[in-house]
Amino acid sequence: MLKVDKVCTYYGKVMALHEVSFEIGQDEIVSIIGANGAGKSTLMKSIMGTVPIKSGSIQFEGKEISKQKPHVNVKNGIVYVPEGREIFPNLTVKENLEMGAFCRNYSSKKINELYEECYEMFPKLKERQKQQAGSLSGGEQQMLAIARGLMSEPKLIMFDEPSLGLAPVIVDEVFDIIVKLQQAKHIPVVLVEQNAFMALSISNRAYVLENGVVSLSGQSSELLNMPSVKEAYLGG
Amino acid sequence: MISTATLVQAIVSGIAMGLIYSLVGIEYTLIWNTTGMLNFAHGKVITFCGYLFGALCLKQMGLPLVWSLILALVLAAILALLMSSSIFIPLRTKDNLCCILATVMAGKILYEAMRLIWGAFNVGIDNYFPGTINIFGATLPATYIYVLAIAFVMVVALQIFLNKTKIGKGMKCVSQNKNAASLMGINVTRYMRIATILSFVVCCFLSILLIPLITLSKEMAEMIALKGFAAGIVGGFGLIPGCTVGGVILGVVENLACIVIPSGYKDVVAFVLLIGFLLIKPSGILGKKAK
Ligand SMILES: Nc1ncnc2c1ncn2[C@@H]1O[C@H](COP(=O)(O)OP(=O)(O)O)[C@@H](O)[C@H]1O
Ligand SMILES: [Mg+2]
Repeated sequence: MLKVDKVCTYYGKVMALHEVSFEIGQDEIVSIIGANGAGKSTLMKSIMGTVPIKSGSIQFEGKEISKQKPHVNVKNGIVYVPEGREIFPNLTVKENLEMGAFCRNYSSKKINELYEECYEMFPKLKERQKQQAGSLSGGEQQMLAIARGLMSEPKLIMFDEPSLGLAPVIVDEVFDIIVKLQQAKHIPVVLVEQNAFMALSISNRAYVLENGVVSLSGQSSELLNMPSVKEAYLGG
Repeated sequence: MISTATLVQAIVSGIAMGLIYSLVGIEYTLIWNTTGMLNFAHGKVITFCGYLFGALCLKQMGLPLVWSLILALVLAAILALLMSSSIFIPLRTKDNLCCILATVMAGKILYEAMRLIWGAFNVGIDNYFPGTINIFGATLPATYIYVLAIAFVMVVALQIFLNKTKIGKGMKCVSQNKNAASLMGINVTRYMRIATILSFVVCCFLSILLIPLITLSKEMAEMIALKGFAAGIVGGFGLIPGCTVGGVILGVVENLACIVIPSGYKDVVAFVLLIGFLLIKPSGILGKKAK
């Protein structure tokens, strides 16, 4: 589905990714774990086209997309729910959802069906649909960001640190929803996390990023039991 | 004792001028919100559009009003594409001084272009909003009523456009968060272009409203451009409804003030109001508290 091959990305002269390769197939959850500053978000931005890559290739459904603009990638079905949610604070919850479908020319009937689908998955958003998104709690904003991402019916969805800054109970809820939506929609999900334990427990496969390099990859269940991973990412 | 007629006249012409300030406020706010750049050339853009409409289309080409309007709008849109592609889009991420200088110089270029093309003198244009009108015993030039009506329709139409249409909503998102907007599939630079075109279209209409009020000259929009900035500050900087409210308040207050103070001090009123707001409530009437 998505194939990243030997991608190098620089910020000016500073290297952020070095020959990173990773792959995700139809119907799986793949997590990318790594410490703060390892290059996880940079990898996501490289895929989206938000930051240009220096070398390597990125293919989506067999087509090269490494030079494509972010808005084109979204239209082609790659949705990125960014770190820090980035909702539109001065729009209402419902307007935020509407913007999620901006790149599609859905009929109003279709849009309403999609709203209902979102509200079913996130009942809290329904209660707050007329509220300004900026007034939601952190957890609710994350739910909104996820729901907004689903509005354009993506073929692939990528979550960047969805658990960041949330209370532990809410974190459970967010991961629960990610698993549920993957099971319901059967789309590939990329999950970027510093919360390695959670990410490894819900994903099929995982990659470990360290200083811009993939240092380890494999089945999540195997990584969970590796001493080196345990020590570095799971608190020993 | 102040007569009703004086009062009515002051208020009606004040609202008319006020709506013009509102439109100026909206015109530069559109570019500010989407690109983060202040268009210091906006007064010159208004004037240039005035020359395109009045001097080129009406006088030189002898086109009827409606065709002059249409042709001037098309030319204004082309100017918008040129300026957005050469200044607003490429320079928006550069430092502030660079942005300011670029738009100031663009204004200078427009000014010199007008001088070269249409000469140093003012251009006389017959008032296309002629006649007088009687309200509550006050006799007013009908120009004010035309200006008031057209400006009012434009302000309302712009609010509807920006809040209800897909393009308007896209612009709103671009102004709130460019990164998130692009992740919604919005082509951010295209929306910056659209906002600039809309801004220059407003400039074009503004010039058409101004010509019968102050005649076509290369300095005609200087004061209006400044007061449009003031309107934004008074109402709430960066807020389209703020510009609207600020402009009308400014227009009415300066006219009412002129009933009691010598009218030579009229322009001072707007700037006293501006400085007052900057000191006491810099976020403006509709603005939230600055963080
Ligand atoms: N816009 C930027 N300009 C320069 N350096 C950046 C920028 N964004 C990230 N970096 C650097 O790139 C490295 C990887 O950052 P990032 O991808 O955000 O890491 P992660 O998401 O894994 O925390 C870090 O060293 C960071 O300082
Ligand atoms: Mg990150």
